[in-house]
Amino acid sequence: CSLFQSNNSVPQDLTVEQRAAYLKRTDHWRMVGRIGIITPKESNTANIEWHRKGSESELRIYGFVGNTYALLTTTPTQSKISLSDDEVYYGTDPEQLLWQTTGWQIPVNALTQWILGLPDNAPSVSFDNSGLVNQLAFDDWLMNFQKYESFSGLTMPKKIKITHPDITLKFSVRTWEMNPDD
Amino acid sequence: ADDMQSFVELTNGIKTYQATFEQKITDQFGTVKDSSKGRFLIKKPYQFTWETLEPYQQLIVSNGEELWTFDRDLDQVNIQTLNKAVGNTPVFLLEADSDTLAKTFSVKQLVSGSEQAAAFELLPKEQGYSFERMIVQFKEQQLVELLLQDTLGQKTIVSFSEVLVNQELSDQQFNFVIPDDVDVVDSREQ
Repeated sequence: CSLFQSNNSVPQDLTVEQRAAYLKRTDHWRMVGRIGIITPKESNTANIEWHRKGSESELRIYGFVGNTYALLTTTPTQSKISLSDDEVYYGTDPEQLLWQTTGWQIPVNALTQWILGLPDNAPSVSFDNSGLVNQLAFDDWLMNFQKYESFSGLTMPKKIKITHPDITLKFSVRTWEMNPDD
Repeated sequence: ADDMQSFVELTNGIKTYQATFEQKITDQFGTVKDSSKGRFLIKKPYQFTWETLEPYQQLIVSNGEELWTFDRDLDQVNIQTLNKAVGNTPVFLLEADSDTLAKTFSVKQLVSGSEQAAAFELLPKEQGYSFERMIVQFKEQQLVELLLQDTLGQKTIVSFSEVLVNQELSDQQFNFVIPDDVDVVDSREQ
């Protein structure tokens, strides 16, 4: 394993089963990367920071000059979204709130479970020969884990493409932090 | 005003320009919120490339008519019609003649320390710009820094180094070839 233990003490060289068990126990993580949103009307790319803290999470989509497009904060009882024009909206379902206020259809609920590359209770899943999930389908969505990479020793999704009749979403992950001490 | 003339003289003197850029965005407390690095090339009129190498990979190419934005991380290419009126870019500043500039900004030359340096303050004349003040700095006739400050005190500082001016550049460099297996989105005005 690596000579030094990275600060968030990610276990090294896990088997696929050990990795799945580790991820199941991890409900504090932060992902930073790029998101591409392609709809028939528009194509956007932006930065994304997704921070899950147990039953709460923060999803920030921001532009290249650091300007926040949308900050979606979710708790078990309520979701809140603040937009670049300082408007703030509240709702119960984060997915619907995001869609209603930005027009972006992002399956936030489903992704919170599966973005780690952990296909638990997904309706239909297929695996690559190393045992990692490479495709997963739910409702009208198809999620392709195009590339995995080692993030300080832990194999995590690097590129994900999610297709739906009305929208294509792409994630390119720059950093994964697991169990960050917040 | 003669400040405008001396600014345009400097920008007109630049026919081609190549540099490494470093962009930093700081908030009103001066903490760096975002930074990126890359290469900037321009060959007038309006042929340019703005390639961000870190922390993400994005190549923007203009052949003078169309603008390609290739997002390497996301395997995504967006084609747009080039909008020459976007005021807060180095391209606009280097390309604009004094009439266009005068319509967009009021230009004031700032007192600068050394003989070889020239700094200009550009204030947008209309509303709707994301910044309220821009400082453009030249050194030995070369563009070296661009600073944009918005109403909340956030600053975007683009500094240029390894600057080469008026070197021969072939048009080939400004014709983007779309790689295979990328998503292409064509949003050119039909």
